[in-house]
Amino acid sequence: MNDFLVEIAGLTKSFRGQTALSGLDVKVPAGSIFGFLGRNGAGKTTTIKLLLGILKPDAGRATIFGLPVSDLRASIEIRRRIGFVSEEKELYPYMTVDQIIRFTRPFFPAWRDDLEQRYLKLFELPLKRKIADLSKGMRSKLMLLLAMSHGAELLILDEPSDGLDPAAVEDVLRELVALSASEGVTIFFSSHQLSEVEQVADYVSIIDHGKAIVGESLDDLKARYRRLHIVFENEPRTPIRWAPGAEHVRQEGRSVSILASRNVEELVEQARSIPGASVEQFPVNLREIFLEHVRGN
Amino acid sequence: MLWMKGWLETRWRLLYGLAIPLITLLLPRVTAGADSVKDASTFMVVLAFFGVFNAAYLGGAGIRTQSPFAAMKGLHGSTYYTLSLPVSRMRVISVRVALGLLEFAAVVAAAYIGFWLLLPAARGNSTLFDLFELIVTAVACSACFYFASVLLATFLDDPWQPFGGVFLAIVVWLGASRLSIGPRFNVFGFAGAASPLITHTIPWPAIAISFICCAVLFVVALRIADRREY
Repeated sequence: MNDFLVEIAGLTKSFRGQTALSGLDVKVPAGSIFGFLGRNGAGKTTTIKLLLGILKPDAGRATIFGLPVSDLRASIEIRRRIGFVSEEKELYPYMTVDQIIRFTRPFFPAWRDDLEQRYLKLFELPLKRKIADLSKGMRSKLMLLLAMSHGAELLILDEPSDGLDPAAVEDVLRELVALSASEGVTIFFSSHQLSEVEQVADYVSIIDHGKAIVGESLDDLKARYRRLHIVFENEPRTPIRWAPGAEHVRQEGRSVSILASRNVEELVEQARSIPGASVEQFPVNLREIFLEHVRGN
Repeated sequence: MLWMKGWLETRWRLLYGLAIPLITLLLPRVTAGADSVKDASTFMVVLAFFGVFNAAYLGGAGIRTQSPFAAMKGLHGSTYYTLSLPVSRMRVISVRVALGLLEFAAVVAAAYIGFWLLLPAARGNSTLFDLFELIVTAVACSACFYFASVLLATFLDDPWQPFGGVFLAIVVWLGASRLSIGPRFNVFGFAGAASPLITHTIPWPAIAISFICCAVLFVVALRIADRREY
């Protein structure tokens, strides 16, 4: 079996001369929870639409379950095995909650009644209420129910927690982790909420200007990065040329803050070699890594 | 289940489509006792235009989600939900087109049956079979405007699609009048000299022209829908 459920290679897409994706490369390991991060307009939603066959790529290739997403027949098979929550969180406004469930169920032969009942209860969705009368948070929950109940092998979630209150976010994240752990479902989700991604993701990819600039396991990423705080006895008269790996250096008077992406030990040694300097190193969170990359790009 | 979606989107449109021609027929008949041959001729033209309007109004929404009551501005977000379902775009459109066409046929049939029953002058010396032929002809000849609306729906938003369909029908009507196309070849001919109530035959040439237009418009609509990016 292929280790990667989703493989994107050199994916390129432009809209009226505006480049949305320029040679995007992403690999999503099977069974993982994959955080897909980027600023507004970075190309996240375009990537998701390409994966679902809603858009067609200008160049490059993307496969899901080993099937090419650009092929019409393969795309239908792919969509049968995917659960999707769109960025818009819009469903047919004229249907009730019960009707949209009855509408959706026959499209997915592996529909799980047990999961449907579980999420109906957990999300407290009123069956008889019209979708037009649901709040955005309720619509998000309903979309999650529909995506998570049909026995999908892959969930593609575009900002799944959008509109949810903090308690609901916790419920959703817990359920996603449980679904991934118990059923082996791969979860590919884009989010601006970096703390949520950090809470649940195994792997992350950061894209900017339509290109992946980071793509690795979250643990490896966090293990690789360190923030160094260096305090000198006297303010350095000339700028210090730091060893490779110093991604972002900020100096204020006698203190220097360095975000290091590699060579942490070498950087520490370099700082310690300066007479009178004291060095401390701290782990960094995903937010700092994200900001460093998108600002530096 | 796409039928269910289509039905929920169109049922109020169907109701309007049934109610408006019947009210239009009923009110002058009841209030002014309109029942002359001239009145019947006027109603025939009016019903033909109601048919075109209903064709444009009930014409498929294509892939887009449609509101049962009013025009939806722009592309509704739920369209992405439809596109994420494991069905081809061709199937989505075909089901919607088939359902709309059935509803359109029902509206036309109801209008002409009402016309037949409410206006004795309309019946003249025609038979029930002539009425059946009139309904078949009206549906078949107006179907080209239905499929024009289906095509327009693949690239126009809701408010513009019916307007576009009606505008196209007016252009065809004016064009056919200017070019003095014979009533048996004119898709509007059934509302006048080529009406089966008068001729007791179906104007096959007009129907054939309409069906050719339907086929071309539908194939083009499918190709656009298949290639369009949302």
